Amino acid sequence: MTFSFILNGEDVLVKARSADRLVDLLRERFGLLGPLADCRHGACGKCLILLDGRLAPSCMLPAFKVRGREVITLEGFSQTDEYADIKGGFEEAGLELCGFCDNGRILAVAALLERNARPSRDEILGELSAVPCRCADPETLTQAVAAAAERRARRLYHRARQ
Amino acid sequence: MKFKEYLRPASIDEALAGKSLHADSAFLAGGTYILSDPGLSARRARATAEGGREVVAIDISRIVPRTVERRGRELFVGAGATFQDLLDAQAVITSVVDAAKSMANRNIRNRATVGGNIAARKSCASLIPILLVLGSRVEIAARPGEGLVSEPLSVWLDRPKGLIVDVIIPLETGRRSAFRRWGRTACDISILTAAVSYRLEGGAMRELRIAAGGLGPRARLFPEIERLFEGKPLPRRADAEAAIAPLLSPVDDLRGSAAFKRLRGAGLIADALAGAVEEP
Repeated sequence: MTFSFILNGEDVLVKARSADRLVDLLRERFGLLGPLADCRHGACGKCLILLDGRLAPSCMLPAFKVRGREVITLEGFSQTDEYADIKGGFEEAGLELCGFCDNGRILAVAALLERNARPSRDEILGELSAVPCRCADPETLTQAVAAAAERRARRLYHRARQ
Repeated sequence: MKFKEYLRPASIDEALAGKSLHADSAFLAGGTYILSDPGLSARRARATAEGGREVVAIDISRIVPRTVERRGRELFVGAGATFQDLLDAQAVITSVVDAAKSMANRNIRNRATVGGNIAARKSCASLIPILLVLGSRVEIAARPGEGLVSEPLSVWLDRPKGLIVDVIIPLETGRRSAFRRWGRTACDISILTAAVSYRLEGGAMRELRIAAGGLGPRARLFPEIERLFEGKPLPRRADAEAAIAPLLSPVDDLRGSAAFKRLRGAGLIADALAGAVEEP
């Protein structure tokens, strides 16, 4: 079947089989290698994407379910100011992600900050539980997200004053 | 399971019409049950999908409500509400939150819906035991144009029909409830689940309801165990366990032996009896 959706801000038209999953479509058809297809049952969080602004595992989504909706992958998200805030916050706290989980963790933080500009420690760890990777400890993660939230708030404040 | 066709109905009536038109069709909301193939490698999963049953997918994720709200002494949960919606809602009581939280991980909770968890009627379903002991009802759309019919969840589970639109959980004053679960790891599928609810009047348990999953083909109420404790004071944990174990007749399967399930199942129910709390 042929359908269209918004991928990283662009309208795309794609032909897919009904059994295709979104993660395969993104990787094989669009060459977007940010989302990884690892466990294929929504456990590892490596394939996360933003679907209409909400965090979703792309391995659990039949491709046709995104018809007419907006999909943002790490490639698209990395062009935004929000990405710069998160990256800056991570660097400030000395957080280095392992490369398997950075896709999921960055998008999870993005989804969290979009909903809640000043998340508590529990809210941060709750949201980041979507990516059960052991490369970072909870304290550094919490500090990194708090730093990212601070940068984001400062940027929005300055923009509002301009 | 492989999809051979994909329907996206605009209304519940259209969805029901689609269902009656295609004999081999399945409602699709979060997709975590239909799509998941844990334990299979990607290659094998693809091979299974290629050779597997072909169904027509009827995407209902936009037409079933996903609101969670309290109306008086009842909690209305839209069948399209995800487990995470249930956890994020302020109105939900602790025992239901415990049950929702026992579901896999956040990614799955972001996709899996309350209606789907009930409709799959799995023995290990996270929500069915707690909904049963709270005396929940489901509102279903059975035939196009006929509106919603409400019936007790226990009745629906015996004879499923139509499409679940809402789940209504009564919140009675004075009713205590608890949910317990056992699985190999936090993320793994539940091996055993147990839920209880009762009123404590003058030190005795009244209107006791006990439900458990993982012991048979489906999660269900256990009236034979309820009769054991109805009207009696809260038993000591060891006594309760010893009394419950002989009444359980689980089957051996790859998740656990019958002996283990009997021992652990009795322990879970005893735990739940002791740990039940009341909420305003």
